[in-house]
Amino acid sequence: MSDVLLEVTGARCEIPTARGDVIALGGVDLTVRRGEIVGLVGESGSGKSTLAKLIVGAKAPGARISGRVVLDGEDLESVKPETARGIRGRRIGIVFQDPMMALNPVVPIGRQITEAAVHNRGITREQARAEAVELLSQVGIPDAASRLRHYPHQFSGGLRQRVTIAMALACDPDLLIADEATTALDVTVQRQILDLLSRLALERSLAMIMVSHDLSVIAGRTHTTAVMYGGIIVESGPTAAVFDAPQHPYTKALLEAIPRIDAPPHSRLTAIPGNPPDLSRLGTGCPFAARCANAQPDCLPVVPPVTHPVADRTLRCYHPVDSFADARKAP
Amino acid sequence: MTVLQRERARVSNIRPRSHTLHRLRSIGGRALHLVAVLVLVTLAGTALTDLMPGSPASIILGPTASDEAIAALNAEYGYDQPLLLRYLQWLGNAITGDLGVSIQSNQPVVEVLLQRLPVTLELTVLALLLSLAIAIPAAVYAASRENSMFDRIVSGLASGFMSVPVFVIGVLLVYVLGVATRWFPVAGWAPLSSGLAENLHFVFVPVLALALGEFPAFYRLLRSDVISTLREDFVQTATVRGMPRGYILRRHVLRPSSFSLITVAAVAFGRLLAGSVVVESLFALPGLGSLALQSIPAKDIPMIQGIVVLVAVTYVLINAVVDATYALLDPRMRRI
Amino acid sequence: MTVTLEDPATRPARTSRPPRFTLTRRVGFMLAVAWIALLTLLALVADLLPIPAIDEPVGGPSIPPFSGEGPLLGTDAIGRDIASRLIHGVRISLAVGVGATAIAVVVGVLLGLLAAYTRGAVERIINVLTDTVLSFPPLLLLLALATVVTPGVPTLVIALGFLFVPPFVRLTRAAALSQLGRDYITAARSLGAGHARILFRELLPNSIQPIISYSVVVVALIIVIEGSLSFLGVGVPAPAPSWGSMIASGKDNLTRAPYLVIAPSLMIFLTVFAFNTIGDHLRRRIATGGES
Repeated sequence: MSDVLLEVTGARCEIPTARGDVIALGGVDLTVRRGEIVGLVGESGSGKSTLAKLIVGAKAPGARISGRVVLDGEDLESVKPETARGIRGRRIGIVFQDPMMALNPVVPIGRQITEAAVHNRGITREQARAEAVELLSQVGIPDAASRLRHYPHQFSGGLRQRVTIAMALACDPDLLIADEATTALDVTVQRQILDLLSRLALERSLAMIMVSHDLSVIAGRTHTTAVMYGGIIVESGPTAAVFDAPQHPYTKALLEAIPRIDAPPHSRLTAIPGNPPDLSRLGTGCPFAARCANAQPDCLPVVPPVTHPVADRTLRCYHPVDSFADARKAP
Repeated sequence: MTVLQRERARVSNIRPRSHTLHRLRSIGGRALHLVAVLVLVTLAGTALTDLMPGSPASIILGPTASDEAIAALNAEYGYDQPLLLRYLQWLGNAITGDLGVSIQSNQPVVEVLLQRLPVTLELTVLALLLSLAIAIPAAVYAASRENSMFDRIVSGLASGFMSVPVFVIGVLLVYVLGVATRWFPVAGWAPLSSGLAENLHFVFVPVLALALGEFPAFYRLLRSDVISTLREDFVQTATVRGMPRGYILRRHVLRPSSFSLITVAAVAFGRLLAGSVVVESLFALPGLGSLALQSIPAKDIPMIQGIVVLVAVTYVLINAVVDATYALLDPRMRRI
Repeated sequence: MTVTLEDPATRPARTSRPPRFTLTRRVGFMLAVAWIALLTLLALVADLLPIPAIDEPVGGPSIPPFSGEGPLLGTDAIGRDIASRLIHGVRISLAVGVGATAIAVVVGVLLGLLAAYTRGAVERIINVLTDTVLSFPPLLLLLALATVVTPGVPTLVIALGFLFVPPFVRLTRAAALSQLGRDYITAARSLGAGHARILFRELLPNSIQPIISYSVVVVALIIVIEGSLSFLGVGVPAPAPSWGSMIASGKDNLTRAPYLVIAPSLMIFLTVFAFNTIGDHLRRRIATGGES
C-alpha cells in the first residue's frame, strides 16, 4: 500500500462565458498523503474551490475539465462515471462553506446523514441510523438520537455545520475536504469547528484538504500548504517552511499583509498592489506578474514551470524572493 | 419620530411580541376571513335575482302570465322581500339542509344536487389525478434534462395544449376516439353501479379532455420549479456523495419543488368544475354542469343558485384546507 | 491574526448557460404579433371588406374548402360563407377579450394600489371581496348570469371584466408593496409629494410591467371563456358568428364535414397561442431584465 492517497495531475478547468473562456484552473498538480492535512490557500477566484470541486467530481454547468485524479491508485477518469461517483461518494467527504445551502431544508437530517451510507456501503437503515447517532455525538451535537428527525432550520449555524461534517463522515472516508468550511460562521464558532476538524482528522487518521482564504486557518493546523493564484499553485511545501521562508513573491506579500501583534504601534501594513486577476483576461505568462514587485520582462511570455528549489517544496516563479535579493547584492 | 422612521415602521408592519399570540391571531384572522368570504359568496347567490330586468316571477312565467299569478309566485318564493331578509331566510333554510324547490321539476334542490354531484366529482377528481399523473413525471424528467429533445418536445406540446380550449380538445377527441376509431362511445354515461369497467369506458374520453386541458399549467410550473431546485447547493451535495440521479430527483428535488404545484392544483379544482360543464354538455353526462345548462332556459333560479353556491363553497373550503395543511408539507412553516 | 483575502458575500456568480433558441423565440414572438395585428385589422375593417353577409346563404350547404366551387373556405351546413363568418368572429373574440381585460386592468390596478397604499381595514375589505369573486369559476357564474339576463357582447364584457378584477388586484398589490419599501418612495414622501402623485407617478409606473404581461395572458383566457359560453349556446346569441358556436354547430357533422369544426378551432388556437406567446415573451423579458 503506497503512502500517497490522492494524486491530481494536470487539472484544468475552463468555463465558457459571454466574455470568453475563464480559465479557472490552469494545470494543477496536487499530492495528498495518508493522514496528511493539506492547506489550500488563495484569494477569491484563485481556483482553490474549483480544484476542491474537481476532486469530488463536481463542476460548474458547462465547464470543461481535464486532468487525472488518482485516488488510492485508482484513476477515476478511466472508470465509468457512475463507478467514479460511487468511489468518490464512499471515500471522499466534503464540507461546504454554507451549511444552510448544503442541507436540504425539507428532509430530516437523519435521512441526509444516513442515505449515502445506505447507498454506498450497503448497510441497513437501522445500522446507518445507529452510526449516525454515534457520529452526531462525535461532532458534538448533544442529545443526538432525538435530533435525527429534526430539519436543518431547527439548528443554529454552528450546529448545522457540525451536521454537514457528520454527513461527510457517514461513509467513513479516507479524505475529507473542508471547502471554506468556517467562512460563513461566527468568529467564535469558527474556532470550535476548526478544532473539531483537526481532532477528527487525528482520531480517524483522515487525510484532509483545508481550503481557505484565511492564512490563520491554515497556519497552525496543516502539515503542508499550497498557495494558489490565478488558477495555478504558485508555491507549496511544509507549512512551517512556506510560512517561515516564502519563495514566491505572492506568498511573501500575503504574509507581509498580516497585522502583527509584536509590530511597533502605527506601523503601516503592506497591501498587495492591484486587484485579483480577471481570469478571462489572463495573458500567457505568470498570472501574478502584473502585481509582482519582482516582475521582469521574461515573466510575461510563458507560465513558469514547476521547480523544486528544496526537496519537498514546489515553486512556479522565474524570480523567486531569495534569488532576487541575491541578484541585488551581487553587483 | 421622523417621517422616515414612521414610514419604516408602517412598511415593516410591526410584529406582535408573543409568538403564540401571533399564531392565535393569525388563525383567528384566517377563520374570520373564511366566514366573511362564505357569507359574501352565498349572499351573491341570493342577490342573483336582483340583476333581472323585472321581477323573477314575470320572467319565470313568461310574458303571457297574469299580474295575479306573478304576484303569487313572487310571494311564494319570497322574491318580493328585500335582499337581506331573503338572504337570512335562505341561510336559515340552508343550514337545515333545505335549498328550496326546483321550479322545473318540483323536486327539492338538495335532492337533485346530490343525484348529480357524484358524476361531476368523479370527472373532476379523475381529471385532476390524470393531469398530475401526466405532468409530474414529464416535468421532472424534462427538467432534469433541460433543453434535451424530450424537454423541447414536451414543453412545446404543453404550450400548444395550453392554447387549445377544452371544448376543442373534446370535439377532436370525440372525432379521433369515438367517430374515426370507434374505440370509445361518442357520448353517454354508465353509473358505477353498472360496473367499474363500463363506467370507465364512458368516463375515459371526457376525463382525458379535461386532463389534457389542465396538464400544461401543472407541467410548466413544476418544470421551472424543479429546474431552480436542481441549481440548489444541496443537490450538488447529494451528487458528490454518490447518490444516484433518480434518488436525488425523488427524495431531494420533488418535494421542495411541489409547494406551488399544490396551491395551483387546488385552484385548478375550480377551473375543472367549470370545464366540466363543457365536457358534460359535449358528452351528455348527467352531472352538475348539464343540470345548470338545462336550468337556464327553464329559468330555474333556485336550482342555479344551489349549483353556484355549492361549487363556490366547495372551492373556498378546499382552498382553506390546502392553506392549512401547507405547514405539513413544508417543515420550515411549522413552528416548534 | 486574520487575513481576509475575499469577502465571502461576493462569491463568483454561478455562470449561467447562455440561453439557446432565442432566435426561434424571437421569430415566434414576431409571428404572434403579426397574427394579432392582422386580426385587429380584419376586425376593424370587416364591414368594408367585399365579403358576403354572415347570415345569408351564398351557395349549396357544406361545400368543402379549396374545392374550386363556392367560396374559398367553403360553406357551412346552411350554405353560409365560412371565411366571412370567421372574420366576423374575430370581432367578437377581440371585443370581448380586449374589452373585458381593459375593465379588469383599470379596476384591478386601482384597487390593488389602494390596498397596498392604505393597508389596514381598507386592505382587508379588498382582500375579502377579491377572495369572494375568485371563489366563483367564471364559466359557472356566467351560466348563472345567463339565466337572469340575455347575454350579448356588452354583458359579457362587463361580467368577464368584473370576474377578472381579483388577479389584477393581487398582482398590483404585491408589486406595489415591494416598491413601497424602497427608498425612492420614502424620498418622494419626505419631499412632500401628495398621495395621488406617489400612487400614479411613482408607484404605478414601477409596478406596471408584470401587469402588462399578465393582461395579455388574460385576453387569451377570456377569449377561451367566451368561446366556451358560445359553444354551450349561452354566449353571444345567433346568428352572430362566434367561433365557439361555429364549433358547436359543426360538431354534429364531424364525419362528413370535419372542416366545419377545424376552421374555427384553428382560429381559436392560433389566436390564443399568439396571445400566450406574447405574454410569455414579455414575462421572460421582465425576468431577465430587458433581454430576451
